[in-house]
Amino acid sequence: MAGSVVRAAPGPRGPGWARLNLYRVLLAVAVLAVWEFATDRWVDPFWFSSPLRIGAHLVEMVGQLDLFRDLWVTMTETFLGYFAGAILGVLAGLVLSRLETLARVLDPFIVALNGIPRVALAPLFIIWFGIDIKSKIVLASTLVFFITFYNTFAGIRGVEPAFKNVARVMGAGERQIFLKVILPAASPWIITGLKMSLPFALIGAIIGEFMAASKGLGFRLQLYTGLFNTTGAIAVIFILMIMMIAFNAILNRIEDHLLRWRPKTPMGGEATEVH
Amino acid sequence: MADAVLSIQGVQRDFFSRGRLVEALGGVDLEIAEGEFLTIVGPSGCGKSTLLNLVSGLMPTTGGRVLYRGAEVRGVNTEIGYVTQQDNLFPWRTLRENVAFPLEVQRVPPEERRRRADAMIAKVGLGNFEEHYPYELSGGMRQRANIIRTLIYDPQLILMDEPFGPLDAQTRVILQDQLLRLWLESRKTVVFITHDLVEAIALADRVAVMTARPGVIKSVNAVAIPRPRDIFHIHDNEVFRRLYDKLWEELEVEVRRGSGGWLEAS
Repeated sequence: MAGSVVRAAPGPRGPGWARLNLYRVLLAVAVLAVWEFATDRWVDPFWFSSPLRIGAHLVEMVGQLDLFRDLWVTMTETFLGYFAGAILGVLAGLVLSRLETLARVLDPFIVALNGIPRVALAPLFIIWFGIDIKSKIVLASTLVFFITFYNTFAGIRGVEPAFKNVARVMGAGERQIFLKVILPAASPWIITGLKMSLPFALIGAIIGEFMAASKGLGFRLQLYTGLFNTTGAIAVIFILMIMMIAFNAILNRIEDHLLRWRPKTPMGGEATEVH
Repeated sequence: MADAVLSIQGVQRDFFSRGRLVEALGGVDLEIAEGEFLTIVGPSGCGKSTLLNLVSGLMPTTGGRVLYRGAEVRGVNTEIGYVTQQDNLFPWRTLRENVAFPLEVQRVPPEERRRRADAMIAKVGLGNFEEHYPYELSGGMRQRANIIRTLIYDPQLILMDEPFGPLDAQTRVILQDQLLRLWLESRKTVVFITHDLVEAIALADRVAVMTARPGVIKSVNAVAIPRPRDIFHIHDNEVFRRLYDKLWEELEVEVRRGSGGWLEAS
């Protein structure tokens, strides 16, 4: 008498995966085709450029070493900012979720700090940390910190008391309860925070580069827009978009593995957050 | 009773709910002997689950005391196993990892953990599902996992709070039968709560009937049906039928009382 057994839904590479990707490619091609068709007919390429011009520019850029230097700089800022912010955010969430009084005391301060627009802080960070990558890393990490902090804190607070009681009755000590029950139970929240905050790390790095920098994709974007070179500017935006898709794909893969114990979503684990 | 494993003496428990004092238990007295299977039946809301929370030490009493082997229960007593109504399996652990959890807590080496967990899983017919996560198991399978997760670490006294409550009728009977077989092997002391009178009589050495809130023990009745019992045909048993009629008469009054009187009209 096996009862009704629900088997795991197909993973991201299950049936339908290839077709899904085909549709995605078709959508992208359709949008680009309409854009290309409209250019020179109804739209002046000076303002909006065109996919072919952007493509040619991208090819040209790939031939230059500067692009890879800029890409490297922006990625370094993004990742260092991300890891610093994420590690501190998760740690702060873990600690404060265990210290009731301190969490209550700090609550309004955390809300206030998180409310500061980072664009307003960027010039200050540049004064404090210089125009090098340090100021961008700090800026990116402040964005990542609060997202991972709030998610970790809420995740740990939300752990089902029944789970803790089960472990307690079975003789688990506080340390074991924390490591074997609370952390895994909160992990979907923590992972969601880690996933949601990655785009913000990139945004932080780019905003920092906009303010003051001598290299990086944000700097290059600023440079092109300053010269009214829309083709160059949109080419850089395309590179940023491709970076984001790649990051997200990696994070989805990690998430699928870590949360393999959860029933799959109708999106088949390919769900991406909308910001 | 001299050889009582558990002695519940005048236990009371009050709650504050929306500023009002609610008396859940109004002085429960009960003695449970070594190796006994005792069931407690009562109308819903009579404080049955509260009683088990007090015995396990998860919740303090507001009056009276609970003695476990002569010593007063204060705080969680790890010699007492507790099978809850919700299976509370850890969703991030496979069936095997869930069943082995108490052994992991006791730092039993991994190979032994695995061996003992797999043996238990096979015993309740869940072999081949060791690697499955709870969401991939049916309600009946999860509840079996919940029970063997407690049996595996061999607690001296096992509390069960309507473990078959959420299951369909057929699955229930099958699991009752399985539970009795497991119990006959180990003869652990069991306190089992249910609102199902058939289940209460079929499983028990003694059945305690509880009153509506504030719950107290109304009567304790020995079940003179020899073991091993045929759960599937227990209705045909003359002793069963007579006891069922007697207990239903007792229970009916309480059910009506507990319903706040709206059943009186019928």
